[in-house]
Amino acid sequence: MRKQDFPQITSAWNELFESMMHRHIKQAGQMSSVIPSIPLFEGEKFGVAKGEVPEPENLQEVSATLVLENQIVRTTNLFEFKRKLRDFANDMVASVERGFVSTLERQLSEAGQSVNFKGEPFTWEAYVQVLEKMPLQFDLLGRWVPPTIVLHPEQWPHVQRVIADAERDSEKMRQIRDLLMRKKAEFDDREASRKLVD
Amino acid sequence: MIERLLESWLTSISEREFDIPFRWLLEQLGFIPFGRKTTHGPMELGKDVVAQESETGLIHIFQLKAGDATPGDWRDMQTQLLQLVEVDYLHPNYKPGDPYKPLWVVTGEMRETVRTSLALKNADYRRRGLPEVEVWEQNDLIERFKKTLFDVPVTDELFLIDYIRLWSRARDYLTDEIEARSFFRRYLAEITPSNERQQKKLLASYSLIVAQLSHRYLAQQDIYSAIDIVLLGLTVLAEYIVQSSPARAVYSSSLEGLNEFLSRLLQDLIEDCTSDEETITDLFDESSYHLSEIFQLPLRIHSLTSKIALALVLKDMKGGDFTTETRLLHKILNGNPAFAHMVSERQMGTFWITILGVLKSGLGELASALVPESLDWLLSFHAEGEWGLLSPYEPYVDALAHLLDFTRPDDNLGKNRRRHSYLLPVLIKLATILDLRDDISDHWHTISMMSLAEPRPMSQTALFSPISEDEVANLQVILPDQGSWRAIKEQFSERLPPNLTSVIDDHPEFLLYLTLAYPWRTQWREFERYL
Repeated sequence: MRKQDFPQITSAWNELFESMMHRHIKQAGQMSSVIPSIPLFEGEKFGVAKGEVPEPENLQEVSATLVLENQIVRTTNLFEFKRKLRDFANDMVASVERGFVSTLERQLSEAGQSVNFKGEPFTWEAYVQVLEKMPLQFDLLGRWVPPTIVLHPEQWPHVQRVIADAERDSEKMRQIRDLLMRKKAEFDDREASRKLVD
Repeated sequence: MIERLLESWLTSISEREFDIPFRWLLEQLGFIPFGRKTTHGPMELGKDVVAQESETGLIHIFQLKAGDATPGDWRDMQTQLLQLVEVDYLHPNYKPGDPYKPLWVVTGEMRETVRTSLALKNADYRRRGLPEVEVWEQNDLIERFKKTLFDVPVTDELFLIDYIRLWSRARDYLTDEIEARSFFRRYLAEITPSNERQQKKLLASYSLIVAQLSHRYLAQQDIYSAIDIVLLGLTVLAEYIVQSSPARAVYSSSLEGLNEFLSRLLQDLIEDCTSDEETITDLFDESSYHLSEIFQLPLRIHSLTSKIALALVLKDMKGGDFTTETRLLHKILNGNPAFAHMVSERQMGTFWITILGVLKSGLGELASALVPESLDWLLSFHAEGEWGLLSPYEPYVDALAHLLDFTRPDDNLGKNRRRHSYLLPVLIKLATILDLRDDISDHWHTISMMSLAEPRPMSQTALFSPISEDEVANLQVILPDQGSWRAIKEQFSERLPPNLTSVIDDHPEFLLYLTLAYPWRTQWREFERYL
């Protein structure tokens, strides 16, 4: 005897699950939440259509495991089901962020744009070294728009302390002013040499 | 276009499935079929359907054969031909020796060798003074169905296009429900028959359409959708009868035909269940491993148990035996929490019918376990921070996002159903019948703060018509009395006013069909009618 199947429910679930995961990754990810869009491959969808497959080296695995005991389904335990889904979504967030960081590391390193602290704690010198490597941004009034620092929450008090110490050090302030003046000149040059292309 | 549809339909149906539509065809061709049931098997004696031609009074004896008549079938056919032509038909209205016409009806094609063999047989019959066997093949049937039953919709090309689209796209009832409902209602509402004969023909063609759609699902091995579409068809027919008040003679043949058609489908389902009781004991579908199973399982259980319960109640109305249905209900429901754990209030219709079946079976103890469990479950969705279950007016697919509340607030803004329920009055009603005072008392704090909604149509026409979400706001909301079990029992013993029940008095099965086709119309007030 055939058990009844509800294709409409399956298809609605597929759509809902996909959009829930995307939304959760966007909302819950500490890093991904500040980035306007993280495409989970072209078109922000799980899965790849025929003919769309990019080079394997450009793909980054994002994965998480959802273990759902039969008993949860058999008893329609929706409260436990929701908890499992949340855990799964959080694991996906962690996986996305791990993948993002490793890709960033690889590409920046290849472009010679990375600064490796080699396990040493964050220092003022390392910070200046990072800023030296970056093309900095300035607003319409010429004010510096500092870049976002993405780091583990445990490191934040230490970074705050390093910056606060530097603000009380006139030599370090002069060093940053010089750096910003140089970077502003580079920025102005770049802006002035913009070309209209077809 | 209609020829292609008829061809595809005739090719896919079994002899048993063809029986009722064939009777509708005969009626439209001016025959009066004898009896409403056909005996298939050894007892049929080569006479599947016997009908009298109204004009001439001549008896016609039909032997039906599904599919093609191939050389491999000829041996069986010879036996049936012998019975068809040479064994007397026994009926009070027929005297052995009176003239009769034997006919062989094939839903497919008759192969050349069979045709030749039959021609030789006919030559023999002619020599012996016996009537010759006339053959109706698929092409003849298509022509006859088209000329008699489809000349009504064929006059309107749009109806025909809509019907063919519905038929060809039929996937499963839940997917096709809205389109089918709209088509059925338009079909009956927009065509104005000029006279009773025309009206009768319209209803016969409507019944055929319903049966054809049901066959379409059967061809896809989906007996559940096949039953659901007939329930919808019968509910829309009930609406038409209430609205247009045709003479009983006008609609009785179509209604009885569809009722009989439904009974057969239900019986087939019961037989499927009894032949594979292991499957029904565990309706969890492990094979799919799909996460949506958590939403599908309660729907699957409700769909099956409500159909078994419907079969049981209909049998009981006719004084039939329902031991098998009782056993099946107990087997599926006993110790199965997914029945009580509903995913939407839209399941209230299937819940109502199933509990009715359980009570009629004498399984009061089981009902006394299921109702409190359902009450606990429902009220857990009305605790602080929860958003209730979706109302019966909202489609099942919306329930998924609603239940997985971590997408809130963006998606579900305005869908907070907390402290508002259509299902709760049904549960309270059942609690009063089962005398579950303590269970109501345990939840009284929450219940007393709930607003209980119920559909209160002002007329029979409104009762049988599906209504839109806008109209829900106008429905009367009842509130339980504070703190007195006796007062609650009294309040929940109220019945529908007589002006709403005359058609149900005549056709009690209509309310059962309505409850399953339009669950938001579930009437707790008429539960006792069926006990």
